[in-house]
Amino acid sequence: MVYLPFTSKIPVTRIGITGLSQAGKSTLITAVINHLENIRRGALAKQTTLSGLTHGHWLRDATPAFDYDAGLHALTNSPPSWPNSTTDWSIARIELSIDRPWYSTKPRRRIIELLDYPGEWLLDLCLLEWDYPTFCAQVWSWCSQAPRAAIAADLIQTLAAIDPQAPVDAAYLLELQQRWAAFLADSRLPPYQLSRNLPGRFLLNGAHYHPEHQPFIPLFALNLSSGGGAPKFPAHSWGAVCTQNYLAYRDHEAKPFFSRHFQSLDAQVILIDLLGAMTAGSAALKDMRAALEGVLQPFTYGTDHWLGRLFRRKIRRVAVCATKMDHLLPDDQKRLQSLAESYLYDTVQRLAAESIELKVMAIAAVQAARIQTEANGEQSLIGRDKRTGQAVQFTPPALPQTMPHNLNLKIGDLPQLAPPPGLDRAHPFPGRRIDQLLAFLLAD
Amino acid sequence: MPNSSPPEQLLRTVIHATGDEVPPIDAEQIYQDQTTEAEPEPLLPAAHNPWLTRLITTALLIWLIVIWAQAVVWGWALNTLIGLTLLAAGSGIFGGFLWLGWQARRARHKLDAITAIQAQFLKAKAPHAPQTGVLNLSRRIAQLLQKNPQQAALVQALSSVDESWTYTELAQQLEHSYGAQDRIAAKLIQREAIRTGIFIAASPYPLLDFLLVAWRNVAMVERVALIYHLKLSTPARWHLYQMILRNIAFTTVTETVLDSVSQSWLSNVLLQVGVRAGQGVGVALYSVRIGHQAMRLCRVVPETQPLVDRNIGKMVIEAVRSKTHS
Repeated sequence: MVYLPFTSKIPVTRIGITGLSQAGKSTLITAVINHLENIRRGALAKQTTLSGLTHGHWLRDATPAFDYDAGLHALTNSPPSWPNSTTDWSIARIELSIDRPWYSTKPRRRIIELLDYPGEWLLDLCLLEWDYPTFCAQVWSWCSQAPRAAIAADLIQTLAAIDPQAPVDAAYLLELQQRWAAFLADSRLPPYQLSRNLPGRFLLNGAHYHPEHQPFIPLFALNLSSGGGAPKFPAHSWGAVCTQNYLAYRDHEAKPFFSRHFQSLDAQVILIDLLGAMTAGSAALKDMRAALEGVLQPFTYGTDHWLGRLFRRKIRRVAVCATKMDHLLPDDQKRLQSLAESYLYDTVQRLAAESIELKVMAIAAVQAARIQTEANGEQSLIGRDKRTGQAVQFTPPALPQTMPHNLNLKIGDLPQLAPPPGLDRAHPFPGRRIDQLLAFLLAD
Repeated sequence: MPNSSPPEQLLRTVIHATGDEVPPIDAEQIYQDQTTEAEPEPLLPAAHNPWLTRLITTALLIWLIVIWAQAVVWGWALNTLIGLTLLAAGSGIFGGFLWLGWQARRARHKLDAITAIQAQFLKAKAPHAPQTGVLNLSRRIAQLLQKNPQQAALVQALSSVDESWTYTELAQQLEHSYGAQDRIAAKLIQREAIRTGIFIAASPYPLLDFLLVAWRNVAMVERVALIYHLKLSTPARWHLYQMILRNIAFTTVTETVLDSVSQSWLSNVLLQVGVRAGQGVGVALYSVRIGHQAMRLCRVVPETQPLVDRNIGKMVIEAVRSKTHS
């Protein structure tokens, strides 16, 4: 945020919010708006960094506007449910009033813009650096190993059997693309919960992208038989069509999105469902870490690189938040934070050398569980199961102090909880560390 | 695909009950869990201000103001300068008392806050005590200390506290932050106690002993407070001494000494060092106790490890004995 004194323009702070697979972006944005609307109450009122903020007001004038009404409706409904997943990009605008001394020349208003976009699209960042053979090689390196090799063994064999030099069968290409998109969708859901699902727009198209218009798939034979150098394909062959459509996707869908939005962002929040990945097992944990490393890679580029220029033009703060910390007992909530830190240790160390403030934290946008203490002092959690809608009392497992280096960790039977009944827009939703997240993002 | 990786460490969730057997959950209860935090009774005695005292004070004040007004009028009639001087002197004295009262009130509030925070820590240590409200407590501590720039490090240490912290963790963090100050204060108490003991043991005039003890102890309490960057106003100091005296009034020297040495060893020592030196030892141990209490009062976190080394009593006795014998 740049502010020039003696100007009447209201400064705008733009924060990108994204997340990897079911991390809770829409819930977080709904909760953030709710907290800013109730800024004089709850945890934000006690946050000394934000003590100057006196009033928050959600503006409906953004285009396309984040559907706060839908988020509120879902959370305050009876029975309540989590807001629908993000399927396209949108902006939430909140105007804040600031209490300043009478002699201050600083503005008394400030606008916060939260850019919401699917995490799947963020993963397309990797594609910007890759040509088609590199894309095929990378995807093959993932698909040739468990668990992807087991999820879609037939599809992978089929793709490996296609001769890139052979004339393309347009109908078959379309069918394979749809199977590839279905495979990506399966991969990101439980029990696998994998993160590197490319191309991202195959999963969430957005309003303007139609994959069937320019279909492409990774051709694994290209990688298997590659001997280096850019391959030449005959016109209308599998290789030629896929290369052409891949480049169109990369240059006309993925790249403009980042160019348009990332050059104006002041901060970026990346939500991760670390508990979800731990529930899925080590493969999901490894995949998510690799995905995050890819996403944060542009911050380490120098200004001679266009991605480096794009990302480092304004973004000074990046928060990586492990969500759903309320699914754990208090002692383990602290461990979740340290697990997230050790999980991302390499990336944090790398970014520490750059001029980026990176904060790894555990949060809960809306607290779905409450602690029940028995007469003997034992603690358990009470919540409402998301799938069955029934109340459930459970003791989550005690987390280890540190993340095993090989990430061989798995949480069994952790319930997915639904939001608690009785949430009210006029009160800040019960959450964990939303105040700290906002203090980090909004600090002058 | 060969998979040679070791088996995953499985962390199991225990499901206790589902459905109607589970107590209901709603946002209201979560709000209550977050905000319910029983405000403990302050350990300091409540300020006594019964109606009779208030009436007498008001009458006294009115009487003083009338006398003062009469004196000003009388002085003015004699000479304008005398009148002005009386007016200025009266205003100055009145302003001074107001300022003193304000300081006392502030200091009293601070001490109340510190003892209330300590009480909350102690309450949380009880078996099965709820562990909610740690963040609120840390904010209260930060709020209490943030006006003092010398306590910036302590406030900084509190900035990392979040709701997942337990009281034990918060207490440990504070203990760690107080480490350097505790060491300096403990050394000071040891030094002052030995000096006071030796003064008493060597004093030829018993009547002066009270003054000597008061002087050294007041200086020690003052310096302990300074180590913890606490500014105590005169009435607050008096309040502190009152409290210390109240705390030790029912405690015999023997009990204090029992903290550090066995009773048989003590009786042997007293026999060896003689009555005069024995008085010195007793006063020195009193001083240790007063200093120890002052330390406890200045810290927002109750002591988990003895703040003053339990062997300090023994060291004091040894020091007084050796000095009085030499």
